[in-house]
Amino acid sequence: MAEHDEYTIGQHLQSQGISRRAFLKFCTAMASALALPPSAALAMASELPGKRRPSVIYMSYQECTGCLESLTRSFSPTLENLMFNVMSLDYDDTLQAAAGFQAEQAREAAMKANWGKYLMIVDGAIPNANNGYCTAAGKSALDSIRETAKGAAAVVAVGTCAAFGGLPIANPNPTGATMVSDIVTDKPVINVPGCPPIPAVITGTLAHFLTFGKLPELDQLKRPIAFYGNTIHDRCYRRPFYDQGKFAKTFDDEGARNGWCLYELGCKGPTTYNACATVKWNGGTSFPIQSGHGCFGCSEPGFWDRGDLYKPLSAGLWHGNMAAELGTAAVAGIAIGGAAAMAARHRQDAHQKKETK
Amino acid sequence: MPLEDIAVSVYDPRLDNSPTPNVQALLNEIATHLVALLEDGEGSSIDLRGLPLMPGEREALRNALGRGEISARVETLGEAEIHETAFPGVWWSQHRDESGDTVAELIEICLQPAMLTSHPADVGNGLERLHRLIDSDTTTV
Amino acid sequence: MDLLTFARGPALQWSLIIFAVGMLWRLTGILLLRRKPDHSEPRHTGTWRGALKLIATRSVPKREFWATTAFGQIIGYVFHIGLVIVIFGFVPHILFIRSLTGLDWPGLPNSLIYLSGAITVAALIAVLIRRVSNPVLRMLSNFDDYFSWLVTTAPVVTGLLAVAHLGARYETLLAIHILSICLLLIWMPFGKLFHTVMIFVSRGTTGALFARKGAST
Repeated sequence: MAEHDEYTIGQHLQSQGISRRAFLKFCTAMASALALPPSAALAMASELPGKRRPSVIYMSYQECTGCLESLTRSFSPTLENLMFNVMSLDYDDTLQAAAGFQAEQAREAAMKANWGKYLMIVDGAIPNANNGYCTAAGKSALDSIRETAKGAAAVVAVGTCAAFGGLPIANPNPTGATMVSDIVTDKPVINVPGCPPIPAVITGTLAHFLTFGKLPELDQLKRPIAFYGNTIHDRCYRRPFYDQGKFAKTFDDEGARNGWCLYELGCKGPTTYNACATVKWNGGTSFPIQSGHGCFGCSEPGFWDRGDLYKPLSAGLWHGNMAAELGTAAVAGIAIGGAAAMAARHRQDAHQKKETK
Repeated sequence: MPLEDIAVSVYDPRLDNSPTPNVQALLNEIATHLVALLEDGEGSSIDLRGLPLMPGEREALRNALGRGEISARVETLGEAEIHETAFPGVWWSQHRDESGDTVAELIEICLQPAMLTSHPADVGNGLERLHRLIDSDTTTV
Repeated sequence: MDLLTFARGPALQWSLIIFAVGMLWRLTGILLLRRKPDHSEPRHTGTWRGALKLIATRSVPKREFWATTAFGQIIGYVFHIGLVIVIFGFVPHILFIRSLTGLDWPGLPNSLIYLSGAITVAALIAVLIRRVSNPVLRMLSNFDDYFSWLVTTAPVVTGLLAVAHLGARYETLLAIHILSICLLLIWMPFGKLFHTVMIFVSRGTTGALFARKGAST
């Protein structure tokens, strides 16, 4: 990997037999995916080839590798693979051939050579409760992320686990899992949540940073607005059925077969910000709602713990026994009311006694 | 070629249906960009995927713009189809990936789309290959 | 915990508990009050029928007063019917009630709900203008009247904003909408909104009394 470092992106493209025309196409697609003005594609295509490939260090912690699967198994391999021609992936313990000391040496060398300039990608939550959880190469996850983030230009938290804690942070959170932005507080953090995130969303976010050297526009949860600016519901092709009040009541009824809105079956589309309804999955084939299942809201914080995966969004979230609690409340109300009435009668009696005296 | 020499074909934009407000707005935008192209030589493009077009509006826009004299197919990382519309200087380009999914669809307002121009770096590479071919030919002959 | 989870969870839970306690407290407190003994000979025995009759007849405007009460009556009917359509016709509301009670019924198309909601807000604004512009009504009004108006109007306005995605992100608007309902639930037993229950009790009592006396209603 290190021997490529002296090459520019242009030289790298040339060595791979990728024409500038093909690269322009890649830039056009990226600009379109990022909702940048189309002129940005020309700027990217003319400027990037002269630059050195930025170093990227990919760190994995409490995760399932689903995010990396999503990134590497995208449907259009050549176009997505071009990403790897514009960046130098210097460390990824899942993808790299090196192991053990050699791998760690590669990471340390890349960090040293690109101090302050490399992009760090974090995949997975970071256990905070016990320093022994999730240890790699003799370093705890907490020490490892702190050490690697120190020289990074920015940190991209890929997947809901890295961005918001995901499954590991779910109640009772035995490992004291925490999210990247809680640990890395002195560097820019970009959250690319999703379980997993859409491949084009990961590559698009990386492309933006690599091209312009700065963060894309982010929302209040540090997610790129280009991809997380709209709710699933707003861009859902089933939206007209919601407006007409046509809902599937079960997963196999007439409404479900007719492709009606899945709101009643617990779809979280209205409160979930992601690009699934537009970019879709598997090369634009489909997305969960299109295949008949409501949105889980996997790109939102704390989605595991709401306890409402199949509850409609407007239903209350009662913790405890509702019937018992409301019953107790009713009995208490009657008791207070009875006492108040008795007190009123007592006052009447006292008043009457006084009058008769 | 000076701008005056570029033929302007007169196109009767009488359509079957009157254009929707979105299509009307896009046509106006294209006209504004054409003025900028003629006056300042400044090209621009419109990303169709970034527009909230209603079903059928893309087709309506396609019909309104029509087809001109040039149609090109670029085969790199999947296909791209670029054609000049009936209004010279207005190009419609659709880029697909290997699986045929559209990755970008643009209306480019320029004299020549960048995609149809050879890049000096590619020319250099080609020249190198040509030299190698010539050399190998001379050695084999 | 984010605002929406708070609103759907603890806020709603506690406001419903307060609502249950409050409603039964007020209702029991009033029903168990000692009534004055009526020593007169009943002229009529159908007191229950009299009660039900008055509940119905008092809902119909009196022709004699129509000229002066028409505006208030119509506008009152408009927003009460509008509220019923919005509360019980909108599918997410039905789902909410179903999650609490298990009851279910078919909903109405959203366009009809949005229209009813808009008309309801307009009518509620009209009644407020009438209240402050009419000197007699203004003198009769106290904090309870204005606050009750506010907690009734707020859920409709926030609900419309939520469906229109105006002013903030949807989840924030939805949370504010639910919180405004929590406020309504908490206030309902203790303010003038208690008329939702008391109107039947008071009219029924009057009707029963009238029937006993043989008075024409």
